Amino acid sequence: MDERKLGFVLKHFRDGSMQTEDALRKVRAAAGKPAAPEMKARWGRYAIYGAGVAAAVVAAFLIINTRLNEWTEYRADAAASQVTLSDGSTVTLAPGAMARVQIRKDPRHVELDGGAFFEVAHDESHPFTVSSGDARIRVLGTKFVVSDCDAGKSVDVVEGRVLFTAADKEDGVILKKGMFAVLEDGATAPELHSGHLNPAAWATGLFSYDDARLCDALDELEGYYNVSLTVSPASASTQTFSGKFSTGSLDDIIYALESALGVKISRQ
Amino acid sequence: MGASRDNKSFDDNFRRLFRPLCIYALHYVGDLDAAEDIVQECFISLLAKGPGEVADIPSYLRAAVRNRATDHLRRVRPDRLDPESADGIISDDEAMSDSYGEAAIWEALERLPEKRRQIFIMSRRDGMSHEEIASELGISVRTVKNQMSLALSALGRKKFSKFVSIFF
Repeated sequence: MDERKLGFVLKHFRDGSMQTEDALRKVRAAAGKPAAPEMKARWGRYAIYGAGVAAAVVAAFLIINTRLNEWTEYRADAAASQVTLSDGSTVTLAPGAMARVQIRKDPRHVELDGGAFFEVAHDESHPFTVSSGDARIRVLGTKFVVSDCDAGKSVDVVEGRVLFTAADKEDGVILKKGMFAVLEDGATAPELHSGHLNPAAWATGLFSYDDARLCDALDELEGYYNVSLTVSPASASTQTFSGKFSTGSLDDIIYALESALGVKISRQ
Repeated sequence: MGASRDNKSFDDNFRRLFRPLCIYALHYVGDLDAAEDIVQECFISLLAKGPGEVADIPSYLRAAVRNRATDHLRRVRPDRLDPESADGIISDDEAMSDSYGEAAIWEALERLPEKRRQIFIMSRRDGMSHEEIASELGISVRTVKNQMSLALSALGRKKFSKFVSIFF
């Protein structure tokens, strides 16, 4: 943890301040424009107004029913953030992503808006399901990444097996470790594409290579860091290697690859 | 349709940027209420703009917040207009980039159970020893130690180094 940042936060911290939703309502009201509906869970909206036992019973039923169906919302603002669900599964939300779960009713169904990395606790009798737009994903226990891409929704499987279908469709594709499929907007079934080496690197903080070709690894690093990398001699690019690198510093990764493989990697 | 989509993207920007911008402003003004007011005023001025008038919303907001924050400082502390952190003056870029990680720490702190947060703040902000905290709160030193390690692991679990800055 960064002590300078922690020190600054501790100096100014006050509980109940910077309430984003309250501030948004104020800003909307001041500008005379109503807010877009937000899906945040609301507790205790039902109050018991009526006198008499019958009214109280009805209200109590409503409260129980509402709470059972209550959606709990998780949001990652600027940083990726991790949520552990009550079944032990964890969801790492990409910055800007939102997930909601009916914790009391079905903790193994997640509605997702944005990207996320799932590590699902194994439970044969209760499949874990995710919906994201028109995409439906069904698993028993595994690790996978759901992303929004230009064409639609995509799924990368890091471990285990996943059934990936369009909404209301029985047939889809079964993805295994290392496989990647895209459900294009409006399509009735996902299509398979060649997989990524480390689709969850942003969530795990790790690039892990097992007998990978240098050129494939460099392709991945170029996309992740948005740089252009060239290796010399060019013949070395088909060389294979294994190793794990932290996503923290591209310079460190380049340095490690150069020393281990005896090549020169230049970046633009 | 178009208007409701604009509304939604405004709200998304607000939810994503409100806290980092408040903390960015806080680096300048050192006063949480003033920082929140400044950021809200900037979002109100953004809403008053026509569609497409602001091309880069995060950059627009950053500049607007900085201008209002320095205006505020000229009124209350005209001798020094630089942003500050816990250990002294920092640059404007540092204030912006720190604010993302700080927003994440703030949120993690906010989610701690109240007692655990109180113990953590007494220890890390007020510099009290475990024994002092225990006697002040009438609990055992072992409880203080347990609460501290739970607080630290909750704060450490957030991947602070991973925040994505969209201003650069």
